[in-house]
Amino acid sequence: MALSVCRRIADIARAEPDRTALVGFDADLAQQVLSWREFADRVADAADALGAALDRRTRSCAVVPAGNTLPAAIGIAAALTAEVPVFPLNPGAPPAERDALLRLLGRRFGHGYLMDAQLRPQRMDLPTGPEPPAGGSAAAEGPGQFSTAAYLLATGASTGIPKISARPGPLRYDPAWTPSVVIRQTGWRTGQRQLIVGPLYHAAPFTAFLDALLDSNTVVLQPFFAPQWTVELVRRYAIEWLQLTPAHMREILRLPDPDPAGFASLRAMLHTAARCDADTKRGWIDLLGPERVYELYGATEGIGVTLVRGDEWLARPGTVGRGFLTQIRILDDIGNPVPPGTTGTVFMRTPQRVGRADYVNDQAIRTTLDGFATVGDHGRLDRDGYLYLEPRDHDTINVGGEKVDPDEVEAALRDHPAVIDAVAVAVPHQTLGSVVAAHIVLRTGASVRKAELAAHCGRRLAGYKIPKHFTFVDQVPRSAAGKIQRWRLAPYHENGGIPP
Amino acid sequence: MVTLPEISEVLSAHPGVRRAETALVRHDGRDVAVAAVELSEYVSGPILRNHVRRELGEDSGLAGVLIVEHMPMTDGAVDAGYLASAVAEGRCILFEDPRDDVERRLTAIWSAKMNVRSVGVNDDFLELGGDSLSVLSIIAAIETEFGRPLDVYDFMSAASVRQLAEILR
Repeated sequence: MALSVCRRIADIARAEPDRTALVGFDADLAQQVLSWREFADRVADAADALGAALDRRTRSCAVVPAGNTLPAAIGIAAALTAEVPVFPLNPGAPPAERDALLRLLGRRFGHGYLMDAQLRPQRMDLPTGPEPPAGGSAAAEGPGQFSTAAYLLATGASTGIPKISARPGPLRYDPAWTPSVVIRQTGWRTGQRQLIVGPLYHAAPFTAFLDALLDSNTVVLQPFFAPQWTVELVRRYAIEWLQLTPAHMREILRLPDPDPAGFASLRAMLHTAARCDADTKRGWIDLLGPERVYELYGATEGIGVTLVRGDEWLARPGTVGRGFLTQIRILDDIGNPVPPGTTGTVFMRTPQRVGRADYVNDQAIRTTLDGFATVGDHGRLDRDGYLYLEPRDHDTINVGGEKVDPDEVEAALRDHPAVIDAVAVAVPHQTLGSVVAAHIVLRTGASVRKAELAAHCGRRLAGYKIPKHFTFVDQVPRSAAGKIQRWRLAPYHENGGIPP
Repeated sequence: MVTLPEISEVLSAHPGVRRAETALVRHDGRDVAVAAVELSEYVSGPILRNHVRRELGEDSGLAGVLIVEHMPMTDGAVDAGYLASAVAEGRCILFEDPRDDVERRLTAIWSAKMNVRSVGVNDDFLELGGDSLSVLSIIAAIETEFGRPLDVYDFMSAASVRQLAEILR
């Protein structure tokens, strides 16, 4: 039994018209509440408007500026109802990034329809970008691939090269499949109250929103992240299911005395996307207890996932878990499997396979003849099949031949009471090739000498891992998913050397 | 009796296959038909094998399909020695019938829940076309049939009827 989004929303609205579907906040942070009946009506109106505006002769997509607002949520639901491929756009994206994304869409769609805050579809001509190189993915993608997509998501934020992945459509509701089996494994219940903290234009919050929509959740949309407010929303709305990034988790732990009682309603906190450092992980396990802390790795690319619960993690600190409906194989550089404990490239295989065609541009996954795929992450398996990831190649800092994991340096720095956030990057060095430099965000009102930070690191890290340069900054560039955007820091050094 | 060129022809007509060649390979003291295929899009060996069995009959004699990047040729014909070594090294899984009652009961469950007629005991669950829906129904059926709980992780790491039977025995 598979139902269209249109039918499913109508069914829920008929069954429980007065139950809350959405809670949002306007620009003045006044609370706005929509019942399922009101939500269904607004979605139907917006879907009709989109359908009427659509030029059927041209392949088209809907573009929704996807801040965490009621209009964004309604716009996304309306496009899915009208079965028009929907792209949730970061409303705060710098013009260059926004243009690059629209150009990628322009390769496949003639028109985009921007759903504004009043939910009136505005036709926009998408800039046409260069065609993919001959022999590239153009043929594989085929014209049908993207016009039949349910939604398109921007990914690759941590590398600075935007790419767009497409989920084949149209989206359907099937009680056995919605949400996916793996999400059900994380304490998810039909009809639950969910808080969405991450922005809807990012993959994890976006897909959590779709699952919430089809599985009759009550959704609370937090328009921007403020740790104290997140905690308050969880308490006030008795939130049952919550997805966070490690950056969110870290900031909440830094609140004075986070109170476990405030999280009593929570059945599960799931984190995904970025690597989580061990201190933050332990902090949340202390706060919620190990059975309510879940981590997923690999969800975005759709080539397979691993899942780990807090109690498993405590038994194997650092693991991202076992493959869930996913087979994992670690291969060496020439494609041969390596034994447990040996590091290699992480390949995964699941029932739902993605091919090259699933990407709009030429950023693609690598696959083996027998259907295993990789996004290039390195890692190892233990004897029981638990996966441990190594830092990504492009993040590793090479200090005179010694490999430094920036995550380790950052964790050490964040351990200092004056430091609230830190990024470690490579800077050129005459003899060593590169050395570690750190960008530091201090707690409000705190001050610390660079020499003291170096000494602090010296007590925790080997000599070559200690940052040789410190720069104090107001904030570190992070993507919406909480991944550090090291590339945003890089040009700074390439052009100007070390800032004073 | 089905001939080797007939098998190659049926495989070549499959939309995911670019080229197929079939040869006889010596295995466990008998000659079995094994095909090598170049793909244009990903299809698994067991799915192609079952496609041939559906088209030409369960007794078509095709035991396994090896996916190759480039057709291994020697003297103008497919390299049977290469196919034999792929089988010996476990790179090409051959169809095998259940050898005892546990394997027979498991094979019947897989076959019914996945709607696949030919389940070899060494076939990989995912390669046979298993998905997250069939995982759940297979696990439920095994739990009923064998009267014991089965973890989804254990199921996926076993991945074949034979290895699953070892867990359940």
